[in-house]
Amino acid sequence: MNRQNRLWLIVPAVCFLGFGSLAEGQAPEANPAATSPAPVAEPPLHQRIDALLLPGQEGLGIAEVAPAPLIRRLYLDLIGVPPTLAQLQNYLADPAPEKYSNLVSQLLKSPEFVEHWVKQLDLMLMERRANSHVPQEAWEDFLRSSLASGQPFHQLCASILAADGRPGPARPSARFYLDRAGDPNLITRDVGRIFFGRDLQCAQCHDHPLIDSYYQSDFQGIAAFFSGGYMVEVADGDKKVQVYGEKSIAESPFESVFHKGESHRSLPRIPGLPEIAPPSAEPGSDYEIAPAEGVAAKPKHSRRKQLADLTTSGAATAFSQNWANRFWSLIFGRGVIHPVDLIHAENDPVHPDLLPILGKALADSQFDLRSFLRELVMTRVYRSGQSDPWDRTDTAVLKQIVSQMDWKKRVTDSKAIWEQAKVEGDALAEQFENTKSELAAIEKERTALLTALDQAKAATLAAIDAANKVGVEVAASQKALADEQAKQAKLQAASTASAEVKTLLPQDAEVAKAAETLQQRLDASNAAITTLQNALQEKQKAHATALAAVEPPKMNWKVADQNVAAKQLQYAQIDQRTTLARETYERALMRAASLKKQMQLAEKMVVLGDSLQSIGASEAALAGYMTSRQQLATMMEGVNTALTGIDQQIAQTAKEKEQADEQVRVYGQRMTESLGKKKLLVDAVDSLAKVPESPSDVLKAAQQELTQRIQQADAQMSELTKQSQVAQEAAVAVQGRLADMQKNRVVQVESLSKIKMQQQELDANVAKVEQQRLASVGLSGRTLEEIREQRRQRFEYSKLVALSPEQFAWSLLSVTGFVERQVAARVADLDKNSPLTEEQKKDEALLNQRRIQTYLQARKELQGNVNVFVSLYGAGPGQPQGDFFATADQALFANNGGVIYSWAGANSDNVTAKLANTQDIAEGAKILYLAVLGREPTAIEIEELSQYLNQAPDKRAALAQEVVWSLLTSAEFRFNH
Amino acid sequence: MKCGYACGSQDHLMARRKFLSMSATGAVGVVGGLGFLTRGQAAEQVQQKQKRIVVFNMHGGLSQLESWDPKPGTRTGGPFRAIPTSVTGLHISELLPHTAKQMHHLCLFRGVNTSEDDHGKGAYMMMTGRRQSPAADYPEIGAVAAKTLMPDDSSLPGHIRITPSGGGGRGSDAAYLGPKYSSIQLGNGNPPQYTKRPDGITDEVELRRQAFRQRSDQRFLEGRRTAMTDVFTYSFEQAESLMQQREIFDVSKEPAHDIERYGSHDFGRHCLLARRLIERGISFVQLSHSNYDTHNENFDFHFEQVGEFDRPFATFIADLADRGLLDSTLVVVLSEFGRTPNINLYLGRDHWSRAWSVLAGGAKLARGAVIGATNPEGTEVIDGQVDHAQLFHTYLQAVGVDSTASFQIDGRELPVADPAAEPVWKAIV
Repeated sequence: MNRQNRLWLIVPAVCFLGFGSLAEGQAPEANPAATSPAPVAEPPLHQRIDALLLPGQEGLGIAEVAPAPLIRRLYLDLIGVPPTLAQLQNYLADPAPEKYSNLVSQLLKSPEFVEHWVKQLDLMLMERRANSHVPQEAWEDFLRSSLASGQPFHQLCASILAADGRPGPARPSARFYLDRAGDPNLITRDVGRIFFGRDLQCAQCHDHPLIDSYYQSDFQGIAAFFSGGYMVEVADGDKKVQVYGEKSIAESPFESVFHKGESHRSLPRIPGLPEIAPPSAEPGSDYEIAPAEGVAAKPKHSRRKQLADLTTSGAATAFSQNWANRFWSLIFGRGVIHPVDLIHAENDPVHPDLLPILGKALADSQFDLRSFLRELVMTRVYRSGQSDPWDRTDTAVLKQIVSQMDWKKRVTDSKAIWEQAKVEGDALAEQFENTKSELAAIEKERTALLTALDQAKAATLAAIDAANKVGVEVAASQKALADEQAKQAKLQAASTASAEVKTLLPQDAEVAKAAETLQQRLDASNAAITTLQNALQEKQKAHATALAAVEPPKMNWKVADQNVAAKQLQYAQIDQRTTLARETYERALMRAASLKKQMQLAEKMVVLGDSLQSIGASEAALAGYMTSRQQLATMMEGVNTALTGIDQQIAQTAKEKEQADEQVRVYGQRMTESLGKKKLLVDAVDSLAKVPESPSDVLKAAQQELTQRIQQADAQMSELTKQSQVAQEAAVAVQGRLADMQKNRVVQVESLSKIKMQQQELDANVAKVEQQRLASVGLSGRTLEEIREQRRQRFEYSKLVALSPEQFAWSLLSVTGFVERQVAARVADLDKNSPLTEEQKKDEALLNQRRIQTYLQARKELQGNVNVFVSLYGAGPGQPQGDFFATADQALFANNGGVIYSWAGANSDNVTAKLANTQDIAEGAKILYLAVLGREPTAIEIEELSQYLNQAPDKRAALAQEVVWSLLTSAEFRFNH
Repeated sequence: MKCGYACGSQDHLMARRKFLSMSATGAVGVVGGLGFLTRGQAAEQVQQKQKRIVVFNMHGGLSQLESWDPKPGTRTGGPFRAIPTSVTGLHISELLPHTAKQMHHLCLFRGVNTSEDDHGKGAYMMMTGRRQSPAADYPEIGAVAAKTLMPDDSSLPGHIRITPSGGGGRGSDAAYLGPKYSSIQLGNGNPPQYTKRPDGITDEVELRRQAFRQRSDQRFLEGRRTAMTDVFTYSFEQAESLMQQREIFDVSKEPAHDIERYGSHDFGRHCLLARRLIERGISFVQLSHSNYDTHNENFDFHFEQVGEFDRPFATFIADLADRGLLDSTLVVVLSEFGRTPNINLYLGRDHWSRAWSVLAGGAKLARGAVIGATNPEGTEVIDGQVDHAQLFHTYLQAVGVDSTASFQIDGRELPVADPAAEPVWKAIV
């Protein structure tokens, strides 16, 4: 059986994937990941994925892509560039049965993997935003060290989410916030999109207008994590940098623009989880670093830290599912739910159970990116055949595929299931609505309490502030007293000393004066001390009062705080219930959406089947018409032949009739002549009879002669009459024949026009049926296109994903040998500058470290070449970077930019040089296609290459360059497939 | 019997793509039923009268007092007089004698208030119709025009920006509409980048290497054609076609007397190039005239700059009107803001966005209309106040684009213009 036939056997099973799970979907537990108890030994993730997406396919073998193209796909996905010729050849020659799995492990360990995924993460997290605060290199170093060390991915996310960017080694981790300028709305939107897969931008000011399951409170819940965030300038050595500090502030109230006057407060909440209760932080002692000029504040209870902790707790399924979906989309070309930042109940997934399973597996692996990716590329879905078999089908095969199932029954059945799901969904919706209104009611109460708490906090802070002010005065007073006391001590000492001197020199007036002065000073100081002591006492009393005055508001605050806490307990219960009700409801919605899609697919299959039938019927009818047309044409030909014969006969007969008529006329004339002659004779006889004298003999003889002549004339006449009668009869006969012929002709002409009418009728029918056929062809074409699109979205045939600008540039540089050469040069440098000892040459770790070092250096050297591709092939800053576009200026660059063409030139022993130097064209073709496109050439391609290179055998190198350019700019190179 | 539609849909695409493209790419198979049908549609599309927009960006902030809203003889009026125009009762600055004769074609907004005195932010608002926000980036008017006005199968770029200098390249001004609609820049009016084949590549080499690439693509795409691969294939056809039509960008192909009429200086040349481009089906052209940021010696600068602007601009309007293009072409003269009525110590005027003017005209805009007014010293709008968002709506409505509709981008609905604003309906006829 040839390959194509083999495919057909697989297609019917493959194309109805969705339906395999219909029965499962009916089970009440639609989400095994969330509901089933941990199984004892779960099969590996890749098998579970295959079981879900390819039900009943075990052992049947979905057409697996050939080894070489599969390896190209794998290299591009894991390390961003296609395999080199040597790598590919080694793999193909490797006899080990587990070589694919080995290769996956090897690639995941490589420095190239780290570099590729640094870029992938950078593009997802920063979307080519400008480096206003953190240089790209520092940011990539931060990502690189995480990826290289194998840090669990959620810990990387946590460090990004908790960052504030204060000067120090961790500053680059704050790039997510800093290069979004600390803007609260942008950060809320992008945290929602990038970390939780939900673009809530349109839910900022009201519930989302188009997506029912995006609520304003979802946006506000994320926003609440950032309500204290602010940009502040701090010193970093001798320069100033911006830092994303955090203040400890209360929830900012919000209201819907559609429901003005209803104020709400959202505490921090991430999608799918209940709110986080505010920590009880006594006013005035809630900062680790208090806000001040040039200082980035840091509260004791950082909201950002809470967010970071939530993501590492494993409880946040929205977080793990988002990243599972994003990693999946990088490997498969589109998300399980797509677009990846529009995860919501009505955006139906490939399979309703798939994302929960993936998310849980990612979380269970402790967010080990490598092991997760490994499972994805180990699936048979990933390794499936390349192109769409439906593209090559003809009507007969399609009909066969469609007829393998009773699609009309499918529609009825799936419609029933869907409607049932909708009914269930409606019930769940009601439950959800009920608990939501309960929550809304208690939220109103809580909002009042929170407002009271705010007021109490403000009052407490004011009292603390006042007390602090008095405290400052007390301190000043204490200082004044202490100063005075110090002075007094000195005076006391001096005075005592002078008194002693005075006793020794009793006569010395000056000494006496001095002693007296000192005593006076001492007295004054003592007096001042008393005053100061009194003042201090006053102040201290005032301070005590002020401090006491803090207590009542603080008590109020405590009461308010307890009130809030008590209310919060009630709230949390209902919140929990609401969250659960919402989850259940949305899962039902998602399932209903999925069922609806399946029903629609069945409907499309019916439409396809019907239109194929109709095409068949039209074609049959057209064929029938063709036969009839043939018959009519034959008949027409017969009639026309007959008519021609008749016309000839008529002409002949007419001629005969003319002759007969002539005959009649001739006889008539001769009879007239004969009659005339007889009349003359009779007249002559009559004249003779009138002669008076007796007839002489002569006369008698004449009379006799005349009579005889008359008798002769009579005889002649009678003869002529006889002949004339014959001629007349003949003429009548001819006339009769002619009339018959003309009658016959009329009959034939009539039958001719009848045939023509039949032909016209036939033509009209043909036109009608042809129109029907065209309509059916159009309908089936469109339907087939829709079915194909749906199947593509279900990963039923291999992906087709454009290389990212970086991937494209690096792939070009790699395939044309630049990377290899640059690495070799760096290795040579290193070996020359710091040669290895024999001992070191055995040190695997050292060798590996040198390999990484030289690879990174080589990349750095070549990086400049990549930037031009980024500006041409990359999407704009702040836009999603995964969307493909192709513009004329890209093609113009490929054609005329000179860059790709010059790279395609022969250089040391790169592919072009090899092709130019290989005499055997088949061998050269093999090198060319393996090196550039990662596969063997076909016979046609070898033939084409041969023709190409033989155009000018003396210019082999130039022609080789052209050919390599052609393949580098081809679709096959531009896409990962 | 051979299946009609499997090839039909391919033909359909081929037919669509072949329609305008002059490229010799791709072998067209048997034309199936569908191919035939869509050809008709394509023809219809082309027959539709295409609308165009030309924007003159008076970079730095043109003074409304030295142009569209003079206040001679007042404290703020400066030294220049006002002159009558072809619209009875309407006076503009004497610096614009040629434009004055064309005002009956145009529509003047004298009550513009945008409340934004920063160059970057003001320019962003005027070009996108929205206030700049870190949480969202919006496409510029040119990208919106390219998306809504340019036939999908045109091989020409829909969004052209003639820059005063520079080497060209692609702008970053299409936001979520995607780079397909980003501006192609013509540095100092030169043809787009890479439209000239490198010297080493002869016709012969070009033909055979392209043919090799195309055959390779055909084989590869058989069985896996998608919208994405079609776009990719088409980009090469477009490039080819663009190279063949490179002359479109060559203003020296215009008649010598036209070059004379527009003036031989850069701006004159750019205006003539703009005429050439829109005549050849490009839907959006933006020109810059620089620089009007006259904090010092405002009057000297405006005397020079506006003087240079006047004749080519007036010639451009007159030509469009003569050639019947004005009915389908919107022309806008804007800045990021106007200039202060107050004259500073250096005889300059500073940034001012509270009461200034935008001149527009053509397409569905009212002819010879004046909308809005400022007070006698030009310090305040007293009638017909409009802002950037309303103007943006109005431009689009003028060329028949429903500015209240939304784009559908990758499953997202994104309003064409600020949904909180409305068009200035009275400017539309």
